[in-house]
Amino acid sequence: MKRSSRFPLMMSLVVGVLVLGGLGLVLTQTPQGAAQTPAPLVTYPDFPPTPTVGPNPTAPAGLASSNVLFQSAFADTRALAEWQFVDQTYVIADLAAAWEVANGRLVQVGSGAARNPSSNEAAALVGAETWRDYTIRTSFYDEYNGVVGLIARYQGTEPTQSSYYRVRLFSTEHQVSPKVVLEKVVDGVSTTLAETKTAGFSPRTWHTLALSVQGANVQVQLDGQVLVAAQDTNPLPNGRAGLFTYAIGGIFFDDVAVTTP
Amino acid sequence: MRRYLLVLSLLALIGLSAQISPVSGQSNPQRQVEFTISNSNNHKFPGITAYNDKVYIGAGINSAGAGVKDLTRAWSWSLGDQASSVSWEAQIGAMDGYADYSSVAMAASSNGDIYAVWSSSKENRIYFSRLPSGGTVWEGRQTIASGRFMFFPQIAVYGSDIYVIWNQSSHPLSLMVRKNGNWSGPYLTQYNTYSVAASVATGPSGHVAISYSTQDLATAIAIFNGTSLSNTNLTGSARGADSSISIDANGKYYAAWRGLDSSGAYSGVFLGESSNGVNWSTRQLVSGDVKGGTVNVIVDGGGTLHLGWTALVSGSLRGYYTYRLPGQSNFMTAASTSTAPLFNSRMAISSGGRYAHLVAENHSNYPQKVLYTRFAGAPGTGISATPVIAGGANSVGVQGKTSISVSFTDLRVVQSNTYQVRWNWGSAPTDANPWQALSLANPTISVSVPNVTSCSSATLYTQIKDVTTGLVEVPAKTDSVVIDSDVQARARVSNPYVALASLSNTDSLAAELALSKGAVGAGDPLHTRIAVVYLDAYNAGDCSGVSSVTLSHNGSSGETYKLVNDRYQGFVPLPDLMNLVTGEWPVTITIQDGAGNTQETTIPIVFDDQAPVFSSVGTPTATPNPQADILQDLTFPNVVVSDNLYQNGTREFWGVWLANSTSIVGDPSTLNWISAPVEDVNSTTVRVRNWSLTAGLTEPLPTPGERTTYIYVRFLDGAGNATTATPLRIDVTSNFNPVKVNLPAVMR
Repeated sequence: MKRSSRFPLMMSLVVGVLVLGGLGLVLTQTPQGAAQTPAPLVTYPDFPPTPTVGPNPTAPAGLASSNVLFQSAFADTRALAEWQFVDQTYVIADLAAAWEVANGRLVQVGSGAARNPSSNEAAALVGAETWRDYTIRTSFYDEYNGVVGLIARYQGTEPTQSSYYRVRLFSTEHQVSPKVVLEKVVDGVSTTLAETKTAGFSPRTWHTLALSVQGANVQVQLDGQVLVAAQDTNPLPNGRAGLFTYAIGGIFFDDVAVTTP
Repeated sequence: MRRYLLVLSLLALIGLSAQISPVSGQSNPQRQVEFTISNSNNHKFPGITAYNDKVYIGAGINSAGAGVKDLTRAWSWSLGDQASSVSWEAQIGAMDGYADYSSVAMAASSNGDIYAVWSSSKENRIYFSRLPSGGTVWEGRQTIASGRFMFFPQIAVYGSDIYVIWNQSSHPLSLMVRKNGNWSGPYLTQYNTYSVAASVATGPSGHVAISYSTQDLATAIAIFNGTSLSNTNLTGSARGADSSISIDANGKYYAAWRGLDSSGAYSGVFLGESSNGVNWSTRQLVSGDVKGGTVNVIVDGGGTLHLGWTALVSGSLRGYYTYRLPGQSNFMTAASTSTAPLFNSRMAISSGGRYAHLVAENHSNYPQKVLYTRFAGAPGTGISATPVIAGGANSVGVQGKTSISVSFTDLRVVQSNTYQVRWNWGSAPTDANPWQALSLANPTISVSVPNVTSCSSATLYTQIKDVTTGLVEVPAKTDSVVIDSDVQARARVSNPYVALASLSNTDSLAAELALSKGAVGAGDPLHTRIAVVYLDAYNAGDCSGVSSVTLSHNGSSGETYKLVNDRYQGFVPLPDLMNLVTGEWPVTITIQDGAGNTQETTIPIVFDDQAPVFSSVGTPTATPNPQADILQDLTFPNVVVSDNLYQNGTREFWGVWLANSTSIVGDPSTLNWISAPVEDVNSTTVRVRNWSLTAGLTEPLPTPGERTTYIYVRFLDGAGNATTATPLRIDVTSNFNPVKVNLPAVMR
């Protein structure tokens, strides 16, 4: 009786040793020159899961077609063709800001083919230089970039030498003041028209941002509230509209529309 | 069957745990300090290096603040590797460049020189400068290369050889080499580069390796053989970027890079290892969205592998650091920066791997500034040697010495490398303390005796240095010892019969002494009539204790007696007994303390075994004490006693031997003889004061009343030898009035 009751235990030990050996080999041996399947030899500290980018709740209702100069909901990658992407700081060709359309959004994904974050000032331009009085409005969701902006009356072919109105907003997590800057850039030289020391925008949630140019008046709205406004005694005459951010990546744009009053 | 499965499962679980659990004693890295360098406006691609326990940071800056994008100065900051703020800063040199293409890189040489290289992109120049070891002013900048748009320079140092690399857009990476003060190159990599920072590293025997990202986004390695670069593509195109490389003390190469995907098999951090730079083993360490610049890998002198990188985790771009101890496959759970978003980090290791220092662009500021983060690294890693003073003794005797031996244990070194050591009493060594060779085969050095008060503790600080790699042990190791520069002890040898007087019980004495009990207390302390002296040695405050005492005569080997509980008391033979003759017999006492210090004293002992000779005496008298005639002063005029050795002035006897008797006896030798010293009354008369008429008598004290006592007298020399002539006799009649004690009256 005793002999038969020990047998399963002995078998367990033998099989266990074989299993252990196999596991050890799998975990410690690596074929030369080949990347292994994921092996968590490095672990990150515990963080909350990455927040999910939910649906855009700020999508506008239908716009009157007579007022719309441009609109895009970035339904597919063909939407990219309507845009010109420029870097407003000096950049070499393979590090230019990279933009993609994904999940029905325009996404700033860093710079260059490697998609590294960069502090390049990145703009996405749309429209014609003849556009004069209009509002450019976008929904945006900032994951980790921290900077969002809009451009109006953009003129020029050399990004660092161009002229335009631009509003830049920083997130609440940015250690900067003021967090809203409305500026006029002439031939690449910036002058602040107005600024406010608000708390900035909250990251990881959807917002709407609008920049209106009407004659000499320039106004910025965040989520329907006027953030800052200015009157330019020597206004830029006309130009294209655009989105602005840094080429850090981590920011999504949706439902862009350019409308006239 | 269920039991079978249970056992199997448990075994498998144990096996898994054994494979992936960190070694006990390891601890996860911890973020210790993090701050933004306030005047590092607009910088890009900061550089960092460390030497010993100092950290040097470099970056291009523009002090004009926000909105000014071009950089005008290559700047440096320094701090201690455990500090929480910058302690020093200085301009390295001027620059004129676009922020994104005007970066500063730094490296430290094994002697503490700090080298910087930077791109001044609008000038199309690569500059180079040196901060001499311990200095505060950078030398004038030198142009290494010019005429092309060059950026992301990196630098490595081996001895006095300098290796500088830089990128050019859609062009191979360039390497310039400075040997013996002369620059050569550029040497070009096989592949054109993608425009991210590359990495250059040096190793033992002048190994030089470069890691870089090819234009089609592969991670490539280039090994420099002195005249050209041999290239290896580690990943294939579109599989890797942002690499770095490091070489360990044995010449093994480590490369790290990131995958380009945000998840899956081609995402995350990768590590490559190669013993020869040609055949590489690579593996994915962790998957996920790693982006934001170089994956930094550094292997320290002890073989610990350190990794620093930035990654998008939980929606934030943070910096991460972890390490892997030698022989392990798993890294510790990474620690992170608290600030985000960060990117373009560089890392340095200090104090032999104990601290990792990460600098990165902090884009939570506008304009961006340098974020510095220190992580506690791998405890106990890096080179190390523990000093042991005087073999580990608690105290060391330094009497008459100029140096102390120090050996080293627990060596954590690379056996094939060359090492030096420096030391200092009381504080960690500095550059003022010279390095000296340390043999790994016989790791022992001599250090000078510290200038401290005897019996005070002194702490020796030592640091070893791997000359091959330049790695210096930090912090310094210590050992403490009590410095004992003298002996605090007392010892004497004396006439054994004098010593007997202080002994309460002489019954157990050796026969030779016991037979002489009658002469207890007699004699001069420096004379002895037998070949024995009384030795008393004891600790009188020596911090090391007293271990032994040795008696010798005239250089004889002597006899050593161990102290028990810091004391020795006993009757011991005169030293050099075989040659003993009557006369002066100086005894040298050598006391040795616990630290080995010795103290030597010579006592002029006289060995005298010959009795003095009585010739004549005037009439002795006895004068009663006025208070009690039981006490009598005995006076001996004109004593003529001669002795061969004893002399006190003109007197050649030390004292008298007295015996009371209630009757006249035929053989006085049977009486109870008691020795007593005499005092000189004048040049011819001596006296014994207050001799008790009952001394030595065995019968009960008689009641007061007139009676006669017969006092027999012999004369003693210094050694206690008594005259052999018929004793004198003094007949004393007294009333035996005892000594009275008058108490004061008490009023109630």
